[in-house]
Amino acid sequence: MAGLATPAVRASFLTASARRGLSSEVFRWAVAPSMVGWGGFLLFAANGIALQFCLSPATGEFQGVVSAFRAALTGLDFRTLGFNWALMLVAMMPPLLIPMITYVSAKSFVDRRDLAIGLFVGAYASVWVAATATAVLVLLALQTLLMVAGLSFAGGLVGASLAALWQISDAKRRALNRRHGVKPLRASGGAANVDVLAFGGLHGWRCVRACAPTMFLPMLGAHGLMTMAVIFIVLLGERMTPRPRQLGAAVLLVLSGILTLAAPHAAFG
Amino acid sequence: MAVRVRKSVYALPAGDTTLDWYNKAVKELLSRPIANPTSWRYMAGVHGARSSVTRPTGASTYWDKCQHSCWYFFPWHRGYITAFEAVVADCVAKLGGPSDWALPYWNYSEDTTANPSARSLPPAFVGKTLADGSQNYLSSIRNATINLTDAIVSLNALKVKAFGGPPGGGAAGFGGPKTGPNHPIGGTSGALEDTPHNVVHDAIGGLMADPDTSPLDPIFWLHHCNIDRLWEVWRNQGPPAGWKDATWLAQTFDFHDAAGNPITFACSALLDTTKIMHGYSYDSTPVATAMISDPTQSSPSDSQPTQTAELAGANAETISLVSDPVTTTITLALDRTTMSFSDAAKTKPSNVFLNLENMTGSGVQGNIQVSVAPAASGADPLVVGVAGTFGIAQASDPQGDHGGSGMTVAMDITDFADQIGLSDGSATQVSVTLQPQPQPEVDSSAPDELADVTFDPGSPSIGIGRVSLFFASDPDTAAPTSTPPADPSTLIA
Repeated sequence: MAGLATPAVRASFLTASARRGLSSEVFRWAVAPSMVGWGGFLLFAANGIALQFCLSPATGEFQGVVSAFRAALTGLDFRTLGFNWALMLVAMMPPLLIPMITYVSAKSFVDRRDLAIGLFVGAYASVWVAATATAVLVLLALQTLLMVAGLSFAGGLVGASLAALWQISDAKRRALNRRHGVKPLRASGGAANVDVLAFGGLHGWRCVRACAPTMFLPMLGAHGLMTMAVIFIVLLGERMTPRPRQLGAAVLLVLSGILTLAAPHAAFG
Repeated sequence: MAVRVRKSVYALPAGDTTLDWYNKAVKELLSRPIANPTSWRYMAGVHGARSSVTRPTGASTYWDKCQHSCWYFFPWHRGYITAFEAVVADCVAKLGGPSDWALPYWNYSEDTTANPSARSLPPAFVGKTLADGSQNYLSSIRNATINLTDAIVSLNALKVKAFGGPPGGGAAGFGGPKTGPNHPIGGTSGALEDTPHNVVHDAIGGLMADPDTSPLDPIFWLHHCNIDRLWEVWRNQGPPAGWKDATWLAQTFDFHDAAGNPITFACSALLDTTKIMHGYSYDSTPVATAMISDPTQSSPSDSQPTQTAELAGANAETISLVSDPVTTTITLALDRTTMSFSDAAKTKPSNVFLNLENMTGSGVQGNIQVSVAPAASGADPLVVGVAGTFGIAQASDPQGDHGGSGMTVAMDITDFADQIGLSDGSATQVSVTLQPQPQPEVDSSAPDELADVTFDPGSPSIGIGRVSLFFASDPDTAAPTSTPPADPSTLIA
């Protein structure tokens, strides 16, 4: 039954532990995609290509907030936005899934582990795509409000501060706890596929509840690799730490927001 | 100063005053205010406390920290009971008692032909008053007439060679899944943590059946002293090379010493019992065989100290247990594993684990007797063990640390593989019968100082998400021990 075995990495210069790690579902589904995402961003940065996650609110004379929002909406470059957001999700989210990928793998028959994880990740990602699309509209609306109020320059600090407040709230703690929840998974047939899809969707929703403000709000202002790295460190740290103390994360977020006031956008790209 | 010797509570000679002084110390420690780190209630809160208890200022570093369902179960509890022992010994000395007081252990697994009382509470812990009419501070809210069954005190766990179980569950490992620190109970517990640890907690009942109240019962400490001793028994059997790693060795835990000063233990400092605080040893553990030469050193980086496990079959429905037995059927898919007892081309499993996954419930639920039989064979079910539910309420709390996932018991049923047709691959289905055990009647004879601590088990109701069978293999890079482990029953004096 060699076909059942996990594909083995046979490079002889690697230790047995390293070979096992590279052959694992966690590497295939979490570590490798994240490396690709971050590699892409570093490549962009090295070539001076600025990251675009939102939004350049329209400028000029408008008859109120609504018309400004409409103008900004029509000016969106969906292709660039979609690509950048997809890359961001690929870079940031898979490492947060390592415990759940481990769980789904362990609870599945060996010969359907990759299928189960794939369905789980697919459902999870679908929820995040929907959340991201919603977030783009919300961010655009908030940016428009800031622009009309003449506060566009402070978007980064406002967003990071709101994210920091969320980080230290009881609601965040409850959402994080809920995100640790797992579901029993049936083992065979269509029921097994249904269960991992449902679990992926549920976990995606729980993850959005816990992480979306932290992830999206700092994007209100100037952003780039530094902002993304701060968000990634905060999210990964709280995922890997039991009962994380969030004050440090909140301070880090606010500091990154303050830096957006001082440094031009290009400095973060 | 010589290390203290922890003795079997049933082997204390006539006229020995160890428990008399323990009784007096409990009274003294109960009188200390909860904010005092050496008070009875503070030390109990380090394990866990009900949400209704107001946490003392600054206690967040120390309270609600018991490690369960992970491979830090043993070291955290070792640090915990040793710090407790230091406090009690200091108290005993100040009260005029012996300067070498040590915590006794309750070896409930002892052969009953040698000690017919082994399965019962030590007599000093029974009764609200002492012979002189004064209050017995070793009494508590619990089942005082307990008679533990052989299944509850089984030491089958000592046969599990791997210390760390796989992080995703399936197999238990001797010490629990190789995860980060984990509080409270939730996920899969280690083999010895399940039995006898969890099931003894449940069988004693009352305060002992809830992790948030159990250390308020003086018998808790004798129970955990025995669990700590069994870790030494397992280690002295000759653990596989690389049973721990650098991360495990570096993990630290915070307690207080006898003076109430903070003290931090790294796991690496918790391996040699003679060097932890005052130092201690046990009157009865087997002579070490094939021990790693330097127990403070990490294993080679290439080691793989955890078991691997593969799903071999599962049932298809969730289960609700109240009081009647429920039978469910596991459909096996032995051709879908890379392990087999009968196919020489596959890896031979070292262990077979029956998993009761995602067990949820509220209150205190008690033990479940587990039986298996080849489905539709007409054969009598074989009782393979008892599953505990200690900590099920905390594990099931949707707002709790585990998001309401519940707890999983991974029961080692390797000894029954032949009888249910796993060894020759003939089995296609296995029926599993789950029989909730009646809640023990509890006797409310706790000291007056604990009158505010009540016990209400709530309604019996346990949900089980899935019942499954896993094949497990021991670490593939483990060095063979020089001597095969002896039958555990011969190791327990």
